[in-house]
Order: sequence, then structure tokens, then C-alpha cells
Amino acid sequence: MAEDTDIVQASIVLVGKFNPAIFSPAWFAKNGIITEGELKVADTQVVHKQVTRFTADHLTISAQPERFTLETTSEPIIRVADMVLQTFRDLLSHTPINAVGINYTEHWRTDTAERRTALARELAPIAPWGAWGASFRAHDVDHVDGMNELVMIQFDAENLKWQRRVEVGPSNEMGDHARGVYVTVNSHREMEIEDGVGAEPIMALLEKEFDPSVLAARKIIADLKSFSQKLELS
Amino acid sequence: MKTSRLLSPVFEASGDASSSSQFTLLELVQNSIEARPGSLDAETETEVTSLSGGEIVEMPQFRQIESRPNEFFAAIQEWEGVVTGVYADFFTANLYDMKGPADEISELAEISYDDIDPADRHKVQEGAIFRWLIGHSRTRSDTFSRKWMIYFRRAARRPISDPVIELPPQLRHMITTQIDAE
Repeated sequence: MAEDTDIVQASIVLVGKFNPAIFSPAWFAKNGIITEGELKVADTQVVHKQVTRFTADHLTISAQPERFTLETTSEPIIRVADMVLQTFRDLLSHTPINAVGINYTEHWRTDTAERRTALARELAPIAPWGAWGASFRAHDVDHVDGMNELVMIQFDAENLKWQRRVEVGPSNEMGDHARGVYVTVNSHREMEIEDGVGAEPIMALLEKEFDPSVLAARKIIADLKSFSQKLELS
Repeated sequence: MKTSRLLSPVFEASGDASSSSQFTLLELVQNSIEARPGSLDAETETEVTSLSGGEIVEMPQFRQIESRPNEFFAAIQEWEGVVTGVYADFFTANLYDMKGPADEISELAEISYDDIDPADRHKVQEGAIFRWLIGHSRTRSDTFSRKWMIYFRRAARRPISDPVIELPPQLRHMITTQIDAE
């Protein structure tokens, strides 16, 4: 990461069979997964058999019958891994889970609006779009046409149950809309889980893969930033 | 007051480890909600909704929270630390650069208890694992400052230098079950 990174977000998404109704702020506090201070500021939007969602300080936890998500918008992002491990490795290890997604996002600002446009033009050239592309605006920082979202996907050649997905686009999360860029890196793994095995295989995978996945994401983003900084502006 | 320091210093630790107390509300739980009719803007109402299977459930109406985080912290350098010695007013630790080899100590550090959240001080024991992050924070009003934070891992079970032993999931499950039974 670099000085120009403003916002870091991370989340873990689990796919399996969950009981959303149990995932209340009080349950997480009782089991020492969130603090009493976080419990006090928790904003519960819904706790229901079909969907649970609440925020507590920088954390958002949501659950549906087939999906569980834990997200943070603050360092230390390793905490989301700790919380998921505490929940499903230590407490609810019987929960059937067959896939995990590790998501890492950075928002940063380029030094100028022109550099952000130049990066977008490199990632998604306008020449192939012919006359329409030629009509794209680039010099009015409030109205730059062109790439809005780009997704790159990599599959493991030998294991189709692994994939890395990178999404890049303009970020509106920061005050200066003309220079903001976001990159989200999703590392997704699925496993064939036999009946009765529960959460342990995916939790073991998460414990082993969380840091490498985050490091890989940071390297991708650092390379993109470095590329951006070397672009010659007209 | 003792000051925390790296014994092979790359950064003189100082600053405030606190971070913002607000939270960004992201998009609502889209998969379950988008397929169902009804506004997501109302604050407290509920709505009777028919699912595809004919089941009638009361769907809550989500309340949008407009507040955004006031401050963001982004780490520039991150180490995983293992506590090696506990003393009267400080502890020592081996630090492993998260960007470097997992089993290679990159720094040695003395860390003052003054720099640890009082709620976490009981976690300072030999072998305890923590993260030390150095970075910067930026507020909504664009105020930039250097910060660092120390976070004691809650779910780390092994020292970073321990080898990862790969066992088939079923065997690991059996071992865990047996240990739990004992």
C-alpha cells in the first residue's frame, strides 16, 4: 500500500447453510467475537430467519440461509479472518460450508484527474469503439466518458474451483470524485464437502489463504498504481 | 513512560492507534432483497411479501444510514509479532514482515504496555500473536496523519514459524472430534 491509499476494505463471504437468526450482535458479544463497546454501538437492521444484518463500528455482518458475509472498512483487516474463524472453526464447526471468497478493496486518488483518465484509456482503449469512442469527452473533469468498470478474471488451470477476479473503476467514496480509483480483488475457492464434515475444511483453507490472498491483492493494486504513475500525460 | 521501539528500527513508533467510530453502510443484502418487491427506503415499516414458493413472510424495510466513516486508516507496513518476553512495563517480540518470508524474523521490538489497549493487556503472554501496523489516516476533511496500531490476534493458534501440516479434511475432523471428546 502507498501514501495515496485512502480507504481499505476487506470482507469474507462464505457459501453454505446458515441459520441467520442466531447471528445477532448479542450472540457475537456473548462469545467474545465483538467487544462490549461494539455491542453498544451496534445498529441492527434485521435479525430474521431469512436474513440478518447489522453494523458495529467498522464491521458489517450479514447472513442469509445460503450466505454469510463479514466486512470491515478499517485496519486491521486480519480481524475479519479472526472473527470468521472464531465463529465457524471454534463455535459453529458443524456448519456446512463449501466456498469462501476473500475480498480486498482499496480506494486511492491519482495525483491529477488527467492521470486517472489516462489509466482508464490504457485499461480500456477507446479506439476500438470507432466514431462513438472518438466522441468521448476527456477534458471536462466532471464529465469524462469511457470505462466505468473493468473486470479481469483468472482461473486456476488445474483447479477450476479457484478463481481470482479483479474489478477496477472510478471511486466516488472520497471527496475528489475526479481522481478516485477503486480496485476490488476477489479470491474465490470452492471445495467438495462430504456430508457431516462441516466448516473445518473451508476454515483451514481460510486460515492458510487469507494473508496470501490479501498480499496478492495488494501486489496487483501496487502494480496498477505503479503503471499509472509512469504514464506520460499529454 | 517507556516508549515502544523496534530494536532494528525502521520506524519510530508514535501516534494514535484509534480509528473512526462511524461505519459505511453499503448496499443491502441484494440477493434476498432484489428479487422481492417493495421499497428499501422506508424506515420502520414491514411488508407482507410472497416468495416464489408461496410462503408468506413479513419482510422488514431496511433503514438507510447516511453517515459515513469520518476517518480511514490504511497500513503501509505490517508485521506479525510473536511475544518472546514479558517484563514489568514492556514486552519483547519477534516481528515478521508480512511481505517477507513467513519464518524469517525481520525485526526485534520492545513494546510498552502504554501502547496496548488496556482491554488487550491480559493477552500479552509469551507466544501470543499480534499484528503491528504502521500507516496513515485521512479524515473526511482531508487531514492526514501518521498512525499505528497493535492488534492481538484472537484466533491465531500457532506461531508463524510452525510448519503447516496438511492432513485430509476427514482425518483432521476426526482428530478434532477426539480432542474435543477428551
